[in-house]
Amino acid sequence: MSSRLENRGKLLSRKNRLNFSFNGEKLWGYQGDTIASALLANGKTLVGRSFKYHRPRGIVASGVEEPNAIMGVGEGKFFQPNQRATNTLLKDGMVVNSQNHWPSLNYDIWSILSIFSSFFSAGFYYKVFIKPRFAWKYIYEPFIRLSAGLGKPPRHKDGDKYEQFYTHVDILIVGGGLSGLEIAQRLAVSGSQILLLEQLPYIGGRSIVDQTEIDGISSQEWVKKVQEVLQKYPNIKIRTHTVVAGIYDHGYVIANESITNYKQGENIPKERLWRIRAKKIITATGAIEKPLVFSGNDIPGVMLASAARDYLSLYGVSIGDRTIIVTNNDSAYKSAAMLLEVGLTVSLIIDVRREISGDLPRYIESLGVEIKTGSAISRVIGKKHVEAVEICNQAGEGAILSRVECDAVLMSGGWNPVVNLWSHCGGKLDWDSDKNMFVPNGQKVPIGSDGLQNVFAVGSSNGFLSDELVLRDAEQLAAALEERKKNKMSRKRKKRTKCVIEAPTVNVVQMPQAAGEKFMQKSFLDFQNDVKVTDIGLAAREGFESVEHTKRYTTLGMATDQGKLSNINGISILAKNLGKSIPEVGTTTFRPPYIPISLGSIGGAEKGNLFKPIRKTPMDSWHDSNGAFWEPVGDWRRPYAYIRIGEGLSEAISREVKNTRMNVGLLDASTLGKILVSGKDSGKFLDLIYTNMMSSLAVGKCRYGLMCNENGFLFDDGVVVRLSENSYLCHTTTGGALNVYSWMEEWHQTEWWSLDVFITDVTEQYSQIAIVGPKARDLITQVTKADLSDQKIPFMTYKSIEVAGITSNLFRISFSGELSYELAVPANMGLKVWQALIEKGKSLNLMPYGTEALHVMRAEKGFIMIGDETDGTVIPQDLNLDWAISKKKKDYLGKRAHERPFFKNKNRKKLVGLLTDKPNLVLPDGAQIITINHEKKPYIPIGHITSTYFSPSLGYSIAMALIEGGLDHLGDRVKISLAENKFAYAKVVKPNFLDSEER
Amino acid sequence: MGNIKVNVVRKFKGDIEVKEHENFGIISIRHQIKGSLSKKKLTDIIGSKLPKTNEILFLKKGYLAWMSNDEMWFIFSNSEPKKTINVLSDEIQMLNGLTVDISASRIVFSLKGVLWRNVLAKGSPANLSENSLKSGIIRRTRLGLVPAAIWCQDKENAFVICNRSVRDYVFNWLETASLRGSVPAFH
Repeated sequence: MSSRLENRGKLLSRKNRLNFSFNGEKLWGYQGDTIASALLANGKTLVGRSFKYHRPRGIVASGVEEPNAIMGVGEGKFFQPNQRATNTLLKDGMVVNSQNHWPSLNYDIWSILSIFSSFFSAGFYYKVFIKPRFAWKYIYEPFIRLSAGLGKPPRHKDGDKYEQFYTHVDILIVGGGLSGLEIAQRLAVSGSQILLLEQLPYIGGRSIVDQTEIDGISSQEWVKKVQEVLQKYPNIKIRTHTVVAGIYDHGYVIANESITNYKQGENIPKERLWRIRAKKIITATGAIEKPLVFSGNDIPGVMLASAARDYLSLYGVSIGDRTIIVTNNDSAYKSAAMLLEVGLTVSLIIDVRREISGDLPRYIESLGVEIKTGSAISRVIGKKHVEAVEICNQAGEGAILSRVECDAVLMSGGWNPVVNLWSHCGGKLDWDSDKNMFVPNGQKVPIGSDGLQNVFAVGSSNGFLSDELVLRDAEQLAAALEERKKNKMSRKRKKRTKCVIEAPTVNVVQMPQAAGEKFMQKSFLDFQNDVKVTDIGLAAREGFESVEHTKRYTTLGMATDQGKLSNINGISILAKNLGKSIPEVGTTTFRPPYIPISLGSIGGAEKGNLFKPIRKTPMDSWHDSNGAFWEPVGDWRRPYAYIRIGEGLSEAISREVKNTRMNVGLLDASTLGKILVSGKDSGKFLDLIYTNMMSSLAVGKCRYGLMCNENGFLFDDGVVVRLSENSYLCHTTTGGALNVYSWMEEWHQTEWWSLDVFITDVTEQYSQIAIVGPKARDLITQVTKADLSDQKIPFMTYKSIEVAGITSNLFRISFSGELSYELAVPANMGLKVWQALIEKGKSLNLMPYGTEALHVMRAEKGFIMIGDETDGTVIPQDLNLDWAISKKKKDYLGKRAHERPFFKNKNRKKLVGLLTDKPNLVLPDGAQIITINHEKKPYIPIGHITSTYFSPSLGYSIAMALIEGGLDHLGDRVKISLAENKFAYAKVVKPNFLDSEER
Repeated sequence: MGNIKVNVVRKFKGDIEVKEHENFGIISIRHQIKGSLSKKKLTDIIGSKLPKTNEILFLKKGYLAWMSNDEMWFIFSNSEPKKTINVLSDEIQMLNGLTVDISASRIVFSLKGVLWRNVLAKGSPANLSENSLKSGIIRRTRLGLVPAAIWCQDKENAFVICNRSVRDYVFNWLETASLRGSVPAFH
């Protein structure tokens, strides 16, 4: 079993003991521990259950590649599922729970599935769950949901803070290991802005654990020295705890920093998402050790050889007293050396190679450790932990030669460069058959927006495993980036590390070479997704030749570790089964993210009051404290109605409408778009933008105008005011303001750039207050001395007046049929003027009204509303607005489209009014309309309801609709579909209810 | 606020100090250097050289900021005599340029403290490094989810200008971004 050793653990602060719980059991670790190292230190080698068969699983790795130790961490609003124990730092009081088992980790009832594993082969769900049809919904899916899956979704709102951070750099170095540090110090002098990101809490990568000699000093001292050198350069910034998740086009990089790993406090965000623009990106991401494929390679206690060194060196954790090492390369012998150094026993080293010739294996042999060459593991014995290993020849079928008792098995199948980031943005890979690994292809490289290479792989991630070659590769890349000649440098180059002879690695697809079905059934490739050697074999037999299809069929590499351990072994097995070479089979595509990043981090600070900006008018606070029931309009919030105590919403609307028609009402119209168009060609410009003639508008006058797109469809409307000879103020709808502004700018900049016009959005410069009702004039005269008589300010004109000492614009326009003015004052005076009007209006029974009362009143008058009567398929003529389309003008946007026969069709849907047979029945918005004599199904609708209200002014319901033929149906009755076989009946009338005596 | 006097609406002190200001003046000057409007004439009227791309000039009584190829903003204290502004407007308009008073449509936030670049980097994709956003540079960018312009006064002072309607959002955003202890000392 695993345990904590004394006097070891470079990352530990032994003074700081941290308490935590695992599945309710109280345990402790030290500051600096990861959850994984703390669990191992407490002898917890069983840490989870597998996805499909619920097999017991232990910790395999020590970094981001870990497939098994996936935990639910935290509780309540701080709970996060699926956290990798190997790179989540331990904190005091941490609550850790393993996942995917019932009732407990030790006794998981679902492990019964393992007995039936032969029925759950690759793609079994495609075969089994097809018949009978009903069974999927009622039997299979509920069962699968109960038994499979990883962490549970959090039940509470996330209590943690997150944020994002943008930065621009010349060079981004990903990885602070040997190659990353070497290249950083070589590029530092260039003065380029360099950012080095390291996913681990410390700099130095493997050289901290696997001590070697560099430039005459120990690798650990070398790392320290380089760090000191780099600190002197202000142009280099180093950040640890930050993993690069993806590289995208144009040198855009996403990285995620785990802040609470090193800093805690009330205001400290848990994670920070870095959004980086880098001119050049250097991936110094190192390599990951490959597992070996043998029967029982998933039993807790089987671990990567390098991971065992990490636990020993960094965290002072022994993973067992008696260890067996199985390998195909020399690097695993480093683990033997380290175990022996601390006084642990290496019972046996199983090396598949026929002989050992490297320096390190020979040294280990000289210490008296038994090494069995040409051998393999036949199978690992043990249920919830390794108990023994049965040994066989690698060459045979697995006949057992001997059995050795042990507590741990360390495996090493060689190393794979981390080429994920290289591949994210188009970098291709080559299979290097000497090294048995995929390496970056030097010709097919990722390129940036300038067509030049922008991602560079270096060191181990470029396929170089020895320190000497890693350093040389970094030197060469630095020289190339500085545009010095590569060769010139390498000729003079002296060796910087101690010469160690390493024997070549032998590719081992599976162990033993000709393992039978019995062994392959328990030989795991993808630990998390329970993909076995037999699954790949089955896929190959069933005709899956493409590696991408095999991946989807078997789910190999589709777990949260994204195949970091399983990918290459899986490809080797597939190649063997297909009788092809590995390059012929190829790899699957590496896509971002390199490791999963939390949704919280992607959302950043944008939650709560920062989730969505709410645009507020200057009078917003008054509305808020006077009963406003809010309605979102565009990004604004507007009062829908002002609800008084004891009043319902519809009662409030009714009161506001009646009072406005009887006395006077006040509407905050500040949100309406206001676009200033100036310049000597502004009349000409607006003639093209609007369907009506604007150049003929006299100074001081207002005109209602329509805007169509180039297809002739109506998209915005509003009142245009001619302020002076060369300037117009165009009012737009609230939601359409920004679109109209962009629309005008685009046409001006791209098509009519020769016109002398300036377009300025002044929407927010003014607060606009609509003063509506028979007493409107009486109210305004109380705040101004200006003469407001019909002669001085007739309908559809404007006047500049002084209101409460403020120069304001008064427009006499109406959207309700009442006497009505709109008063525009500078926005910083809006609230003051609003309050003054409210105060003065008390004697006139003034009431403010909201957007719904506005809608009701305009519908009573038959005025259209963009978005109600229009839906992107409606032309002005459909709304009987022919009068607003100039016949004199040579051109305007939409004119050509309006000439199309389709738009001249008499049967187009056109605007009508509807009066229901039952005066109180308010028709549903959007309801379909059918002709009265159409009795049998299928009902073919002739139109639909566009606006529908109960009119408080008239005392009955009113509706507007678009129907085929429009007012040709005047006086006809129509049916409106309410529900299946349920209809309402209405009469077609002119769509102006207020001035009509139809009812 | 830099070289002009403004009143403070509200403020917050975290890793930097954030103050919200109103009652300053902004005139948008639209111009196209052609025909009767020569660069020299415009320079004479404004009484200052013209700002280059992304430049903001610190004048005695305010700022003159580049906004686009045909737009500048003159930002000044609201106590500045209206007369001067009117004269400016008339002269420019006579030369087929345009001046628009947009004072009430914008809100300015002043940021004080050496960490200001790091606060803004939490929500602006612009390059805010000392090498890029130098003193006298203005960037039209966004902050969180709204458009904003940022200019650097000096090492410890910067300004954010945004639309009036989103002042609450921007204040809340700046408050959250500058919470004590949360700002990384990156820039």
